[in-house]
Amino acid sequence: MKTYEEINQKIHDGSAIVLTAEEMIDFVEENGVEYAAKEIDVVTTGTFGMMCSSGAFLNFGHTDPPIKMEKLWLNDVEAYHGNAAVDCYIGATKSASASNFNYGGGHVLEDLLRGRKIHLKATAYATDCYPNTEVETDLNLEDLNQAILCNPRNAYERYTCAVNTSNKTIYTYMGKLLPRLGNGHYSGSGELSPINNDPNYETIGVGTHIFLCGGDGIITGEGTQHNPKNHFGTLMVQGDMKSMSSEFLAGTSLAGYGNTCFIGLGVPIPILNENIAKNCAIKDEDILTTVQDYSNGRLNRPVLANLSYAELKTGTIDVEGKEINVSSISSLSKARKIAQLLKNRIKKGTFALYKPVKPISKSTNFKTMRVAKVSTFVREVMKRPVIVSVKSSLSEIAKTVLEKQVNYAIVTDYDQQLIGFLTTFDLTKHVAQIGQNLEDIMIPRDKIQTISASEPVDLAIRKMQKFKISSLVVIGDQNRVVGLITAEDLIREENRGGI
Amino acid sequence: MPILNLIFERSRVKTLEDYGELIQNILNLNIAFNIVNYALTENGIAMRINVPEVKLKSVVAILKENDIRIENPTVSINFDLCVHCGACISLCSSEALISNANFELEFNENKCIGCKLCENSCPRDAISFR
Repeated sequence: MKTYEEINQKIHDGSAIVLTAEEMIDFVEENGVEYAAKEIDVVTTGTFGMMCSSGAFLNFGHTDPPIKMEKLWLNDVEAYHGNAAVDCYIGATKSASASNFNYGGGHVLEDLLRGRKIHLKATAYATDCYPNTEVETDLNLEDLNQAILCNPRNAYERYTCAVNTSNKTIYTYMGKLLPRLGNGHYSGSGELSPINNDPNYETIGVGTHIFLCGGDGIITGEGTQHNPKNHFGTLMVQGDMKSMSSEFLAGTSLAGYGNTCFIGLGVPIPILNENIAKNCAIKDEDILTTVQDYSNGRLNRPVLANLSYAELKTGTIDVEGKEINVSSISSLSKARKIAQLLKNRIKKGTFALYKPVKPISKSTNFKTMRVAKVSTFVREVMKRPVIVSVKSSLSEIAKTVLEKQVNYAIVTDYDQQLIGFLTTFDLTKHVAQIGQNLEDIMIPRDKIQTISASEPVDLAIRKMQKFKISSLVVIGDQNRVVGLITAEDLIREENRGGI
Repeated sequence: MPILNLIFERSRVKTLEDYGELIQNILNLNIAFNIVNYALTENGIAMRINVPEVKLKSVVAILKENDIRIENPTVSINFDLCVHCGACISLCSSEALISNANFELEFNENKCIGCKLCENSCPRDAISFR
């Protein structure tokens, strides 16, 4: 048993024995937990991932005459200004432009760390004490009174591996995912990740001193969406940006998704007892996660496989019998570097441990939003489709349309995959001898608007309005045609009070 | 043996049948080559082939006749921006983008087939195409 005071004394003397979480695995394997607990003083961890819940409080100092900023932009990125006169919160995910994600809040933070000037523009209404209504200037980090990185949710314990089973490429916060299980992405540094090395929060607590983006930070509490019971614990952290480096904070643009930023974070774990030593020897093999299908657009994504970080780090995994390439979207090399740098700082005596002043909750529940208005889904409103085979003759199709008393037919192949769409108007074209074959007169697949059965009807309404059409083909599992939803169905549902 | 990177384009390739048809078109060209690597993309097939020196001229002529694009690898990585996250690696089936033992990104230009599947994958905008 060691105490914080004893370990800090050793750090001060330069005699502390420090290992990274990766080195600790080998040490425990060779020497056993009992010896490791006695011998090792601190184990360092690290992670470098995109953390959307990041941002900074900035204070610009007062102008003369003074202004109480009401709206404000930093390099065209809008910052939140619901606080004092010249304070703001710049969030990592806010984009300068809604149409592209070339530059966002994360880039503003990175530019500040790079020493670049940031263009500030603010407007205000005048008051007796704040008469100024407009200010425009260029400021760098040194010009600011405070720049406090304050991230409500960082250091995810682990994350899911994202794949895409649909027929089209999707762009998500887990990166670009190719169709038909073309690739997969995971995040988190596994055996190097802070909370995985202290899963019971025995040393990680409120007040813990951490490495944050190259500088000094502290843990201020549990993070938002902290979900410790399901191994999705998170931490709220803050630190002085003036101590940080752009090597460990990087703004990002994810195509088709938006802006965010990479955050480098390292937590030292004091080896106070054998149990802590044992936990710090956790291996990627023992850190489990799931492979989830990100193509269904819903909160609960289908789980396709269970596996460990060790399997993920090999670069190929097996999902539903298919071997697919996976890669990390958080930097494992930077995570390693952070653990190493933190180790060096502790060994040199420049980084002391703080004893937590309050523990992090191990029992917080994670809830979904309670929505007063319950969504109706396409599946509940759609009707059964009238489907004809692509091999049918036009007279067969005409007969089907008459029999079913509809004014359309959906054309599919043997596997019920969508090929085309035919209205009675299109059939008339044949009678008028404008086209001889089905292919000549039907609407081809790439011109047909579809919707998934599991999507909310609101999305169906939006699609119909956007494309000025009155029906959508509904696609279900394995991309099979399962229904048709029309404006008429939606009106009927609305009258029923469903929408 | 000389190496060529080809793009067999088609406006839309979604199903396996579409790929089948495209491959049949390639076979119909009746040229002799070895496929070094290939990738299926949404616009067709990117393929890296090697062609016997003696047949190079005739093969290039046939490809040009059939409007098949011959591409040189045009991807470049800006390592000043790269943070080695790996978001591009899973997209590369030709092993031009790989992670080394230190989990750092390495780009092997000689293996790149110019399929552009890594386009729009980099959160740091470090991948560009000339």
